[in-house]
Amino acid sequence: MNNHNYTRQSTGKLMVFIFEGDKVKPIMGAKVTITGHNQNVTQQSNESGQTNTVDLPAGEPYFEYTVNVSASGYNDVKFEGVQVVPNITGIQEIQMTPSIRRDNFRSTEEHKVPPHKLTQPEAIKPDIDPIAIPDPQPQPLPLPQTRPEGPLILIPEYIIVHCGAPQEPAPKYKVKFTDYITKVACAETYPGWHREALIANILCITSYTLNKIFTQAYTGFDVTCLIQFDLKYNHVQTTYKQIIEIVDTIFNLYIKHPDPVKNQPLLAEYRAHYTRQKPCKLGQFKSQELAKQGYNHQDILNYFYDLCYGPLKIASAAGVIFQGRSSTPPETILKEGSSGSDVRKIQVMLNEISKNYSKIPKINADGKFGSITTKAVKTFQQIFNIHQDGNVDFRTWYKMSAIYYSILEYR
Amino acid sequence: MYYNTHFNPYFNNVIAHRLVNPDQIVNLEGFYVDIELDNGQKICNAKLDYVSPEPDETQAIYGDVTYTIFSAGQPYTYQTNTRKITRISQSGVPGAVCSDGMRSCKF
Repeated sequence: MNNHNYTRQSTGKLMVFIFEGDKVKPIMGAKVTITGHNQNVTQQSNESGQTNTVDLPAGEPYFEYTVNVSASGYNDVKFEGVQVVPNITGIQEIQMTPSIRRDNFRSTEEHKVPPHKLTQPEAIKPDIDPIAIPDPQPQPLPLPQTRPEGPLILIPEYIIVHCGAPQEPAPKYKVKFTDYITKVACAETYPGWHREALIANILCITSYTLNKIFTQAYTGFDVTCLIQFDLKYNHVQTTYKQIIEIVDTIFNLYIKHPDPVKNQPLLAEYRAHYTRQKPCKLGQFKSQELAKQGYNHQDILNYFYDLCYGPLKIASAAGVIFQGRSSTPPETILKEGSSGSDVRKIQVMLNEISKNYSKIPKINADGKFGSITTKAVKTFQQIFNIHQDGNVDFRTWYKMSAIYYSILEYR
Repeated sequence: MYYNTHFNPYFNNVIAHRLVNPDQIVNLEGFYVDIELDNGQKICNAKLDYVSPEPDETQAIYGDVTYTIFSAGQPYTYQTNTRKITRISQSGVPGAVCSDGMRSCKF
């Protein structure tokens, strides 16, 4: 009998989500092959475009796998460098392109997920003093169709990401605001970090991004995807459930500017290795250390920033924008037993979404939140990685609205 | 380069008068654009929020366009129609409608 020296191998989980458009049309029956680290796993996507969650060997900080996808009517896709992190569920979103050729002659699109920022040397970035950034000045405008009611921070539906130096021509991506924050957070933090450290880092990312949008730092786009100028954005980044959950919960929060006269969010910068010093920036590895010592996200932010600005305040955006208009979420959490026009609105949205996501049951849009509506909400939450409680809170409402408006736009 | 419908390659074509129809600008939805209207007004660095998907020219909503201009960080939303647009281009690129560096409205 052989004496094997068994060592316990860490594993991570991976789910592949395959769709057309901006998650508007899930692709069912796609063949997905995951290879690497002596693994060769084949899966098929379900009616929601998702594979089963697969256990894969993983090591610190992550193992890289190759994912190949083929689906009838679409170009084949090959993703290299898909990141699987120990004890974490990763989601690799793959957007497919309809093929104009017959299946036998389809071309293959190849993509590589770049290495995680924290495994790379620190980028050299110019120091910017957030205090010196002026608020943009008002300009004379004709009477608009809609007029804001004061200096408000609104969450845009999309942001435009310029993948090049600001002054140089480069491709641009139109990215949902929450997807942008999620992918930056997944590219610039480790998903296994303490929740409070992740929240502190994500608040910096959101605040930084909203500052760039509010101050109109660039013409023709909102941010660059280059770390030398802004935050690192990879369109093909592997995402992680822990980070998606936090971003979906706090994407409308930002750090207020310490100057009460200014309306812009704080340009909250961070570096991988940084200590409490001037100019103030958050130190990412130190933030994890502090969280493990019991600091909450507010304590962590103050640890780094109060040296320059005093205690920081977290504020909530005044609203969210869909199709260029400010949208108001329901005033209360909608749940079984609720009724009224807000319930009817979410029923209409769910019915529209269910035309593409057939797992979501059809509802009679009668404005009454009954058991079928609860089932539809839970199914929606399951597909989009939201805790399945069947209630429509701000987070579920926002995700539902985002998918609904994307579907309308895609038609 | 990763393809998606929300990806715009470097787009510096200026679509000229009478060539602007909704089909041509629907891919600019969500992006920053420069617009010249038939009264000569130039709108620079506006976010193109919405282009009506109505394909029938006889319908009232055909060509309806909504765009947002940011002033002092605040969004101001306007509506127009492709019939009133003489030129439109992506903002901030060489040859754009407002390529003289202006980033706001000209009246």
